[in-house]
Amino acid sequence: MKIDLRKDRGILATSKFLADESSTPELSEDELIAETMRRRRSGHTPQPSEDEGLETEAIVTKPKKKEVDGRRKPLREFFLVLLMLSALAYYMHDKGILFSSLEMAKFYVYELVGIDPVLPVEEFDEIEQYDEYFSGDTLVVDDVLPDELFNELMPVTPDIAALADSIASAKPESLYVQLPGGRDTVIVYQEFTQVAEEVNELTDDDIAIINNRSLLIMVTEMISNFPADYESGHLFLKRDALTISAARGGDWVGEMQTILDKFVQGSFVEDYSTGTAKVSSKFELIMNAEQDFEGQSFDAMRLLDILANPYSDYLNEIVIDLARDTDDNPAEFTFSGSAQEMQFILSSWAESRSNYLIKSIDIDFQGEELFLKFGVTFFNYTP
Amino acid sequence: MLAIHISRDSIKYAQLVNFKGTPFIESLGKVNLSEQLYSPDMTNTQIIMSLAEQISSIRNSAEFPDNSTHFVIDSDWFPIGIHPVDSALAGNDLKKYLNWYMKEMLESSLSRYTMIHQELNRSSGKSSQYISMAIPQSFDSWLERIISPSELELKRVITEMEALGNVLTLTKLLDFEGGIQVVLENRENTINCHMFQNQEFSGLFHGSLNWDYKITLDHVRGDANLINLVKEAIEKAIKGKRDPDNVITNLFYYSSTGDPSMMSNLQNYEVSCQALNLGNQFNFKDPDTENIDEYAVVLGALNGEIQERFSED
Repeated sequence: MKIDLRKDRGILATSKFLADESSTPELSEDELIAETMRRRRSGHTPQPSEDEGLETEAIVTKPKKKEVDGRRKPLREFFLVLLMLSALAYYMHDKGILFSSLEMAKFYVYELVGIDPVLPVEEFDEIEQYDEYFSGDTLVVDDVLPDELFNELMPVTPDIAALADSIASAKPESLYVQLPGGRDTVIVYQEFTQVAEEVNELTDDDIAIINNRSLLIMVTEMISNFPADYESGHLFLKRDALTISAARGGDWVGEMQTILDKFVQGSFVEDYSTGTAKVSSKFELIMNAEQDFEGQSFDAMRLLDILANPYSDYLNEIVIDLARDTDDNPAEFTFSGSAQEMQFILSSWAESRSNYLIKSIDIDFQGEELFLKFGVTFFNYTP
Repeated sequence: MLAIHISRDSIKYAQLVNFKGTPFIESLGKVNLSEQLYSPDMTNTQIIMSLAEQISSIRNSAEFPDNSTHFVIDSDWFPIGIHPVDSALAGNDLKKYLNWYMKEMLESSLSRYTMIHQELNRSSGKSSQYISMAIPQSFDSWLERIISPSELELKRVITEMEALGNVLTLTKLLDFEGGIQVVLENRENTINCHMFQNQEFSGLFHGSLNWDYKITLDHVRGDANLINLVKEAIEKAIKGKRDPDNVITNLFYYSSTGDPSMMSNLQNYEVSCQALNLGNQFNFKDPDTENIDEYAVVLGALNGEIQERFSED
């Protein structure tokens, strides 16, 4: 590698330490052919200029302003159009076809936008009103027909008067109508009962602890569905991404997708190009807040006691620097054992609801033995 | 030609001169810093001014004034990732993948960096290996502010890992058989290891050296499994225990601020462990300079210059 920290940016071409090419051992003919084939397969050509300022140095090019033709005079053109329209209107009025043409044009426009010019145009701002209007029983809507027209079409007989009285005295529930297709709607009005609901205000720390639980339960389920018959596999999870690789076969990929659907929202990519099955996902966790959630805050020593001591039979290593004296204390826990034993640890951690943030979970499946590594950060927390 | 290495706790420098067609290291020295440096902090004007003053005094003390300078910065100032990439990936997809990888590492602080990616020379058929480095946005202006008072002309600015690779190249210690080579710097209570394989950088780690010769890893970049094997091999070597599973082909060591006695077991260990011994590799004006190996990084930075100016001779 040769990188100038001041000048280089983006993707650079390969460069060895060796400045003196003469001291490079000569490649054999076979090695040269293999190298050429590899380069051809990769199809990689360095594009230093294109990649420069990859992340933050977007090249800003201002769009060129359209050149304005200096000879054009918009005001004069406007007056010309106005003059032509006036002449056309005068001609049509003279021939007696001006108003009929306007009517035709109006109907054409109504037809084009789908408005029935006979019906009164109403503005519906509530979906309930929309339902009422199109419920099939439009007679109860007052403004469909004027009263005088309505009375003329349907004179009030004693029977109709009795029906009107009974509708007026009926309970609201009895006014539901079953529409064709099984859709219920309300004719007269709907009454909503207010439900008093306590709003839980959660801090970011609370959410971190709640999401720990989701992650841990999700991984516990994934281990149950991991293809145990195969020799090896790997699962790596962060709070917003996941990769799983294992031998192809069986229906484990489908199972993983089902589990992911329960806990997260995001992408799901399957890749079989390397001979094994690789699943990857970028996601956002669906927060599953518990009704009476209460987090707990402990110091680092107590957290170690909770997270490692009960599982000392399976514990391989803890990496932590307790003396660093900072707010955030990163730690790494490594356990190994059977799938059931690791599931026991994961589900027990899920019940702890304490002040640690799971940054990553790394599981190496080696036959029947699993190597489980948690990357966590202890943080200061006030419940 | 000057080479200046700014590290966490010191500034080291070396001057290369052409003495009748022979490269000579004219001056070699170091200045200890009062405060530890970890990143190009633009907010601390006091540190910037202090660095600028120190560099000016180094420049003025040079016996044969020369503005052209190579700069070396500690590797751990820059977030680094080494990762395999499918060889079929090219162009825009490759760029997207490499950026995604760094985004995963840097998360919300991504916008504070610009990226450099380079393919490493140890790619296999199906996958290529890339090194990605994130350069803080403030780096260029920070560099400008510490350099401008001394009116030095920057020729190249490189990392410590590149300079150490250059040392192995220049001293013909670089292995061509695919073996793992480690350059170990013994700092005060810590060790700083750079790993090379197939004539290419392959990883680095910093660790605390405990009283029982155990190493606690603080900072790792590269293949974590391989680094663990190397760490265990070094622990055994420092203890003087024979290790039949030793994965290290060559271990080159030197002490800078660390106690040299910690490395005493390495002297009698195996052929694969040896002190860098740069005193025999360069011509020094003052060959009696104490602990020349300590200046490995600045000497490595001058490698390109030596190759360029004196290769014909």
